[in-house]
Amino acid sequence: MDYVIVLILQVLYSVASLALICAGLAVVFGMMRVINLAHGEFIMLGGFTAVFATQAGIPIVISMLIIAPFVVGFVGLLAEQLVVRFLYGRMIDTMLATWGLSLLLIGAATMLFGNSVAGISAPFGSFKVGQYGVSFYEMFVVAVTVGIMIIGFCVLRYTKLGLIARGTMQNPEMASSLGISPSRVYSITFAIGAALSGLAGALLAPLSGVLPTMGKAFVAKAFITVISGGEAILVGLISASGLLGAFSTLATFATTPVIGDAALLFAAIVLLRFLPNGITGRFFRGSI
Amino acid sequence: MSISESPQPDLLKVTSLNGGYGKIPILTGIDLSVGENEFVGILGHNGMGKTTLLRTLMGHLRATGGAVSFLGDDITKWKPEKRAAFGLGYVPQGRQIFPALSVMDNLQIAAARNKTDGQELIARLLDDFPRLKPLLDRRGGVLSGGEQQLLALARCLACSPKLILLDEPTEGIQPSIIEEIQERLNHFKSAYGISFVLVEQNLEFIRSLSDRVLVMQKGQITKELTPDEILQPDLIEEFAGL
Repeated sequence: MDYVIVLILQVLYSVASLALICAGLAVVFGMMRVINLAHGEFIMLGGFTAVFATQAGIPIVISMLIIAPFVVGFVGLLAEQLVVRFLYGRMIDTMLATWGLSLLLIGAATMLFGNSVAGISAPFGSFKVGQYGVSFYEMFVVAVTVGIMIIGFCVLRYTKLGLIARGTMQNPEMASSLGISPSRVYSITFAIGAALSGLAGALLAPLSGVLPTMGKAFVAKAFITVISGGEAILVGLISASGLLGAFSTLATFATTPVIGDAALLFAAIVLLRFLPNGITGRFFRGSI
Repeated sequence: MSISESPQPDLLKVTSLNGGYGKIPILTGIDLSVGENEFVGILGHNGMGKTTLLRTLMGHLRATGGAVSFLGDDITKWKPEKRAAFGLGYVPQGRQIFPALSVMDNLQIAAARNKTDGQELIARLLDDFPRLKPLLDRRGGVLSGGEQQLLALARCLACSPKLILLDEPTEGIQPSIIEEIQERLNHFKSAYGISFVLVEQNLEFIRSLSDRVLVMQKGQITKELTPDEILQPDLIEEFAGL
């Protein structure tokens, strides 16, 4: 019984952390069809920001939830203004440019911070389920992820900003005919996507440590999950992370973490074979 | 006297406008002016550049020469969103309703720049388009062509435009709604003083609404007709080949 509870909590955490590392990418790819290969490095920058801010004496929760998203959101805004905005509608060029940006950020981080793991310890301690220990911090990550999804849904569904974003996503030319500036919507969206990646990196920093090259581990997983989710940003993200995250964790429990990761990719391949437009290309159509 | 000269003060003035897609020229020296509260029809064959003209006027295509002025300002290089905010409305071919947004959201997004009285404006528009009222929660993509066309008009009006560019509003629409559109457009011209540039192939529709009809041939305005002249078969044969 205890084992089952721990297993469920672990699945919850895996799904949440997968959704978290995908959120920034889902926003940027879902809204603008831009493949941001520097996504992993935005996560890495978020991690470093949280570590340094915490080491400088700022309370860890503030460093993670406020400072990291702001810093990385600003970096994202700069990247959009200086590079990405000139390449909209040119998918291959955007991929090349953001890959270049990714290499630049890895290089810069290695030069400035050194090629070693930086870390902070996870706050909040742990609790016992029977003979097993479960970290409160992992549950905190789950709670924050759920919070982000709820906020995201409310913003997209109930605010003027969300309406403008959804309209621009569906038909940018028509949106501009109604007085909406697509380029401004894109800058804001890109910055929000980067901020979400920063938040993900910050939240994962205590658990995985921070390394200049850590982004690589996330970007492929994030991509395949977002593609599996399909068109609807939020529902796609939640359903794909739920499905792939749960499958991969169960495979990890049954075997080893390496096989768990392989299982995620395998599940995504099978899924995309039968649902080439992703989960929301077939189910939940018209959702956000 | 130029054929496009208008007796009223100019709201929109287009001088030797050139444009097209990339390096392919479509518009080769368009001269055109639209006065306050005036309804100008543009008639022409397929492929003569009518849609290209409207897209260039809205700023979706770059002008490669000439000038466009609107309300006295040179807007030739302005982006579409700036033109829209300045009072230029556009109802494009195919209507371009946001398919996944509800009818209400299609109106709200257009009124979004309107900070204070957006809701009031939408309520008034729904009185003007009672047919949309029972559809407010439907997704734009599931409406019939006629309903979408009415929604596209209402959405354009939610931006409070002074001049509306209308691209073939009767294309693929059932006759009962064509009459309704015709009647509504007349109403907006007289009640709100809005000016229109209408590109259309439906002769009766363009005749009943227009103050003047311009004939477009090979990227130029070649002739101005009175609305009644377009019912003379020989003139139409000659200039529009319809």
